Amino acid sequence: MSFKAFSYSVNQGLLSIRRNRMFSLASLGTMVACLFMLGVFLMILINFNHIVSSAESTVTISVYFNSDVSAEQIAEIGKNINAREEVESAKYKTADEAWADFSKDYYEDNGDLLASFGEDNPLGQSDSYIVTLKDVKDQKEITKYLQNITGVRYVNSPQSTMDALNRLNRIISISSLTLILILFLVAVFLISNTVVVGISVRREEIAIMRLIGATDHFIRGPFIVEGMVLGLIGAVLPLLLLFGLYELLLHMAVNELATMASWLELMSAGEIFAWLVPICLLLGIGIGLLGSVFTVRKHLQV
Amino acid sequence: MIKLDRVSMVYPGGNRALDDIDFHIKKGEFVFIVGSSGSGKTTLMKLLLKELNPTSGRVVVMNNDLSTVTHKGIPFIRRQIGTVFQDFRLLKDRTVYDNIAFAMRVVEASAKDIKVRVPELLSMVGLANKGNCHPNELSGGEQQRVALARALANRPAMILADEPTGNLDPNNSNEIMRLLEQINGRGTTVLVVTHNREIVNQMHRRVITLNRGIMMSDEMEGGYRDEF
Repeated sequence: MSFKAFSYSVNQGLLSIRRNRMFSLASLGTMVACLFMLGVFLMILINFNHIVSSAESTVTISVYFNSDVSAEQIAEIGKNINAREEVESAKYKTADEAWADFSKDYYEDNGDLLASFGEDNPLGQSDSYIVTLKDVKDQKEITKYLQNITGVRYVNSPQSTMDALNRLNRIISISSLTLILILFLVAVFLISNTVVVGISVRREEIAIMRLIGATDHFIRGPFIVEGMVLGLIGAVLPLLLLFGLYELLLHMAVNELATMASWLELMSAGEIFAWLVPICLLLGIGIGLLGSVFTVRKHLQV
Repeated sequence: MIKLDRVSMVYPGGNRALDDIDFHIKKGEFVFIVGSSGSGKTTLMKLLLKELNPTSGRVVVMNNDLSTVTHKGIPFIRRQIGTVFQDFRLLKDRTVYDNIAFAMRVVEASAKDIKVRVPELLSMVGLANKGNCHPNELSGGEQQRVALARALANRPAMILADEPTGNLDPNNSNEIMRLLEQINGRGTTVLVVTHNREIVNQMHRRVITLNRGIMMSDEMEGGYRDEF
């Protein structure tokens, strides 16, 4: 297509959007709603995945021993654990270190209460190995292995928490993908409807164009542009809206959520929108293109 | 310029619109195709513009056998044929100037060419001061002159006029025919499909008469034959 034909298509496409203002606004509105919801779901999904994976990466298994197990035996067990392929590291933590960490986490602001313990270590006999895995998937197997070692008193594994998080992640993914697919189809249908109206409004002009020797591209171009422009605007508006809302959420998160749980850390707007911008733009223009190309092929025999 | 070689056209359902039509129109000729309604005139127009394909026979337009022209090639054939219709087919939401310029934009003419050519055409059809009017501000005769200017915009080798005087009074009809004669005088082939007896009889040009899809006569200086 030549530059002249391209600029004609753009002009006429924009003109057509203005002429069919009501239909254009209806499809634009749906498009904005679709991509806004898509954006919200993606934000939840991306953040949820981020939270799950950062939670997973910090997940460790603690292994505690019976009181009759000697230091040599503990060292031998540690060596065996470290030798396992699935294990990233197994660090030995004495009962004193465990108490020091615990008191730092829970009594730092309450020195009087801490002082009441005196020299006592309530976590005596809590010598342990803190096992970090290479891949969280191996957690179940390693937990079973650790539980079967002679001399091991207790294995603390956050398996059920991780399972629940993964299940929730899957439910959110499936339900949002289904909803997005439905919205996607509705948007394609509405764009197609707008283009059909545009074609019927310009039926006479199209007939004249055919007779005076306009090529297929020239006749179809404006309708394709119309669909793409609606798609583009329909993607940019929700992106701006989502950006504003996410910034607000981040601002709130710093003040409110961070105090709820240290691992509940949201991704930065930059990281989220590095995903959202190309996805929304591609989908918006794609929906516009799909809706208009199918319609033009079906309703505009040139 | 135009050659129809044993052309027949049968519509689905068995309606035979044209039956074994055979004629040849040379470059620069002025030809009337006459006949009452249902004689096959419109079908013939559609065949020449490749809006339809004949059931049998060969249609050649400007050395192009239309049966070999691909879908993509059709616009380039049509660009060499200026078409004029009984109902003018002007775009009512555009000015006279824009209606003519539109035909040039469609074939991707440059803005500079459009600026030069449109006023030239408006002068030629006697509407130099009506460029800014909209079609509904013009009389029927004036609208047909705009349609004629649009048909000439891309300097076609041939003008195909389908009942160009069908909606006009005798004065305006004569004016349109005078313009068509002028255009023909400059070397453009003109093919007028009509059932306007007076005009055909006045002009003493070649007349091809159709009746119920059959070519009844082809006379070099003919008139309207009432017997068909």
